[in-house]
Amino acid sequence: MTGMAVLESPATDRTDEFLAGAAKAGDRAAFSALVARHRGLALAYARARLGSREEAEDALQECFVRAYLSLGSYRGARPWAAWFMAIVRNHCTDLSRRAQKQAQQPLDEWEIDDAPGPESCLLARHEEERLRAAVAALPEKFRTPLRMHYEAGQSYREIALALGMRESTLVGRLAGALKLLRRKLGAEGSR
Amino acid sequence: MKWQCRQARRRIERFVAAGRSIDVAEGHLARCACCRAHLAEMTAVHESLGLLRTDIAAPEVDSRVWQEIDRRIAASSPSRARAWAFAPAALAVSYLIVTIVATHLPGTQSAPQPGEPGIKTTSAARSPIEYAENASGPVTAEAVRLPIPTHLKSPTIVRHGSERRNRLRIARHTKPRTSPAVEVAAHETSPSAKTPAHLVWARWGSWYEQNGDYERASAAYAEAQSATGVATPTVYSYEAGRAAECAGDLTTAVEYYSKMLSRPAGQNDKPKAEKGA
Repeated sequence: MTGMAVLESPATDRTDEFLAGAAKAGDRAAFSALVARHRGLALAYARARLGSREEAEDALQECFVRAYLSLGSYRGARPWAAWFMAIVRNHCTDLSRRAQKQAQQPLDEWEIDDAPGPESCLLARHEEERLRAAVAALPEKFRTPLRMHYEAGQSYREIALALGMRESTLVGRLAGALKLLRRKLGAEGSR
Repeated sequence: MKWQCRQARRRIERFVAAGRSIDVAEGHLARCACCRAHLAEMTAVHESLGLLRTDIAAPEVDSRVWQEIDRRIAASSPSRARAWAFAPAALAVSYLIVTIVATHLPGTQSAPQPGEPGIKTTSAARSPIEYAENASGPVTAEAVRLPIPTHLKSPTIVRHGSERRNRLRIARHTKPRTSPAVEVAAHETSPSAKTPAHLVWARWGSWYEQNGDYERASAAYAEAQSATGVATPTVYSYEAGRAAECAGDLTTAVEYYSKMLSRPAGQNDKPKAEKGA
C-alpha cells in the first residue's frame, strides 16, 4: 500500500506545488487553478462532515481564503493538496464544535417545532430516509468517509487524501461503517 | 461463531467496503450458509447506500474567494497603518520608562554634600519614601529606623525622584523615615530646636558609612566634631579617623587618632549636649 495519496493535475501538467509557488509569488491565476482543481473534493468533504450544503459552500470559500492568506507558511514539505485538506479538516472541526455548542444551548433559546408535518411523516417511512437517518447516527469517523464515498462518489484515493489517512485505513473504516449500518438497519427491520 | 467464520466475515466486510467481488463457491463460503447470509446482508447494505448518491456540482467559488481575499487584505492594511501610528507614542512611553528607571537607579543622583547645611539639605529620593505620622511609627512595614537629620515643617513636600507628580505631601508633624539606600529630599525644612547640629552631622556620617562613602562620612564626623563647639576631640574625631582609615586616607586618620591620644585624660567622649538629645 502506498502512503499518502497525491492528486495529479487532470487538466494541466503543472503540479499543485508549482501552482502554489506561483500563487505565493503573486500569480492569481495559479491559485484560481488550484481552487478549480480541489474545490470538488473539499466540498465533498465539507458536506459529508457538516451535512448542510450551504454550510459546506461557506466553509469551502473560507478554506480557500485561509489557504491563500497563509500561503507563506507552505514550505512544500508535503503535497499542497494534503496541506490544503488539513486546513479544510481543521475548519470543519471548528464549525462542528461550534454547532455542538449551539446544540447544547437551553431549549428556550431555540425555536422548537416538534410537531411533525405530514410530509415528514411520509418521508420517514421511506427507505432512503431510514438509510439517511442510520448514516447520520454513525460516529463521525465512519460517517464522513461513508458519505464521501456513497453520496459524493469520491474515490478511495481522494477520500484518503481528504482525511489524511492511508487507503487501507479508509477501507477498514468503511467496512466498520457497513457493519454498523447492517446491525442498525437489521435491528430496525426486526422491530 | 467459529474462528473461520470470524475470519471470513472480516474479509467479507473489507471486500464489500472496497467494492471487490467475492466468489461464494470457493473456500469457507462454499461450506458456511451463515457467512453467505452475512455476505448477502453486507452487499444489500452496500447497494442500498447507492440511494444516497447525489451529484454535487461544486459551485463556482473563484470570484467569491477573490472578493473575500481582497476584502480581508484591504481590511488588514488600515489596521497596520493604525498600528504604525502608535509607534511614536510607544517610543515616547519607552523613553519615559527608561528615564524613570534610570533616575531611580542607585548612584545616579548625587548624594548630599557634607559641606552643605545638614538641616536644609535638598536632594532627591531614589526609592519610595517611608514616613511616620506624628513619629508614632512607620506607616509601611519596610520602614527603616534611620533617623533623618531634620524635622519637617508642615506642609512639607518630600520629593520622590525629580518628577513633580511624585511629590509626597507630608502632614503636620510628620517625620520621614527611609531605608539606608534612600536619599531624602526635604524642602523648606527647618532645624529642630531639640536636635543638636553635631548629632545631625553624626547621623549623616553614619548614613554615609552605611552607603559605603567613607570619605564623606569622615567629613561629616569632622563637621560633627566642630559643631560640638568643644576644642578637645570627642568621639566624633575618632569616628572621623576611622572613616578616613576605611576610605584609605591614612594621613587624615592618623591626624584624628593623634588628636584623640593627645587629649587630656578623663575627658568625656560625648559632648554634653548629646545627653539631652
